[in-house]
Amino acid sequence: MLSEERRRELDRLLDGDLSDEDRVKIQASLESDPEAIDWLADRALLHSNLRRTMRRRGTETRTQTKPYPSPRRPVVARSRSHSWMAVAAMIVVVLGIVFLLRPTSGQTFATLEETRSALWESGELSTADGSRLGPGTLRLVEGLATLRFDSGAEVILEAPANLTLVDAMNCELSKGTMVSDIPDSAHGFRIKTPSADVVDHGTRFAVSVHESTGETHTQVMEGLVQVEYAASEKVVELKTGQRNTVAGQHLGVATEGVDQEPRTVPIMPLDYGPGWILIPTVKDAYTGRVRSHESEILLYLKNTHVNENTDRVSYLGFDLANLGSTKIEDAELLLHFAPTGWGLASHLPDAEFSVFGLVGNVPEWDESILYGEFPGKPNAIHLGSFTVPQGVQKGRFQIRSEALAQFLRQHSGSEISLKVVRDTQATEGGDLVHGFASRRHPFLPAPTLAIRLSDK
Amino acid sequence: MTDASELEARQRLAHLWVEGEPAVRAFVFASVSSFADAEDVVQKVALTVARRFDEYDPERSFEAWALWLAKSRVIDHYRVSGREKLVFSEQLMNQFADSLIARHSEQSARAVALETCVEKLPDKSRRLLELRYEDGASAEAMAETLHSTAGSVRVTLHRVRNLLAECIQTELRKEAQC
Repeated sequence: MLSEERRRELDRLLDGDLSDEDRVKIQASLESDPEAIDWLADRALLHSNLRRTMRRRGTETRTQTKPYPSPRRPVVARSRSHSWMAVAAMIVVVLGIVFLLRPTSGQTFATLEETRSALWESGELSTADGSRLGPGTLRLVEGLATLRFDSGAEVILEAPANLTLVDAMNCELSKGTMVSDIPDSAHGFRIKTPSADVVDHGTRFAVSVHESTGETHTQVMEGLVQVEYAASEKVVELKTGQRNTVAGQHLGVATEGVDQEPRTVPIMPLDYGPGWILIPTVKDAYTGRVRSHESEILLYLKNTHVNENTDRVSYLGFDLANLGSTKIEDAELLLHFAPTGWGLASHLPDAEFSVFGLVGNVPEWDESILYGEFPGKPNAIHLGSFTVPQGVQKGRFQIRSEALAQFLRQHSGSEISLKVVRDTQATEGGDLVHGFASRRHPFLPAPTLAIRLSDK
Repeated sequence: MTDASELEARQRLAHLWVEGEPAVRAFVFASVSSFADAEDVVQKVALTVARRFDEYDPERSFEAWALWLAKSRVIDHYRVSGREKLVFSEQLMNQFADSLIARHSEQSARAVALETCVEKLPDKSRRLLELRYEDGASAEAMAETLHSTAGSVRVTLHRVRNLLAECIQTELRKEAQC
């Protein structure tokens, strides 16, 4: 049985009511006193439960006398009339997590974790990597920025974008695109846009706002999100794989098709001068699959060191029949990358991609290989490589090489097959899946060969 | 990790964290005395656990692993002020963690019982708890508010906790009889 004096001493330890010296002395004495350790464990659980209980009770008392500042988010404000005995203990704990993850001290509630190729317009917040952020507006002109809210919400902002930070659970996106990854601790994370409020009840989703019209596009990669129409009480729920557009007076419906990413910037048409001909693919597809992560319109690329089945490799077929024996002077392969919405950019460094020409005994293939396997393993000649910087997920990338021109010369008059692979492996699992437009993409150009022919 | 297994892992993590968080909280609250600081540290532990979840070996106790990560965050907290010596030693840490883990199965029942027991306290005792736990007041500050002395406040607070601990034991026994 512990002495009363010993118990008081341990209570003072919990209360931080001891000098550093006494604290060290008591901690040392505990090592040979298992009974005291057990008592302290009991008491520490009581101590931490009391903090939670008393704070919750305090919040309730305040709710009864005046409205809670954020009535649309009644996470903590529960009426006392709910019998706590009846409420599963797990809920007590979960509410506690939500409660304690709210900012408790200081003005800041988010961290600017990382930026890639970022260019900022002046604003009231610091834009150095690692900066702690409080309320204010970030204006990202170019590149990507990853923010982590103290609630646990992680968002990647894609330029051009303006984001106003309100607190650890609320922000306002007035233009641009934001990809959010929301853990359970940030359940209820709210993104306000000019036309709608997007409330997360799940895990991963993307929101784009068109500055000129205020249109809001939402797509859910995983989980459940609510879109609340700003002009009325109407709400649309989006589940995994669904998307929605709110425009003007219209709250759109939930439609399937997460991979059709909204157009966030206008795409310049391909424009090559006289002397060049442009040849789009006649067939294209990618192999490898993660169920429910497929795309019909983007060709995926991924190279994992963990699981070969999830590697994605793209194949492009071009018909050079009309080229005949014309002299090819110069050649370029153009690919238009777009975000796939899958995987984390931060888990992948600058990524190098290689393009190969298939030679020798090339098997017949068609687009039915999509998500499957390529029939056979023909030899491949390296035609060129390009690098996509970390965090960059869209834009035009190309190879322009003598090897490519040489390959085309050798195969002019016939069909050719190219293979595109990502050489760079992830530093961590769950890394970014890259994607570029296939010939089925609604507005981005198909993979295209630009060929300059000799005028002689 | 594949994209599909990531969701699964996240769900597993959410479940384990709900189970393991009370022990982490108790450990951090025993190690860091300011409530606001302790809550910040628990939050950092939660983020570390989430970030490093792929390192967790499911064969082992999640609480033990989370407590091990919690210790590093507590050390970080004290490092700022050069007071790392205040962190529990490895040995004490292990003993304390074992003791917390042994209480795991009772934890949710204790949290529920506490609600009932706080309700049963005399108003004056509850007021003291409000000052200490809601406002985070020190013994001196509480004494000033209550026109008392720090020594007397410490004794009263200690007794109120004893009452609560007894009440919780009674409630748990009632529960066991049902």
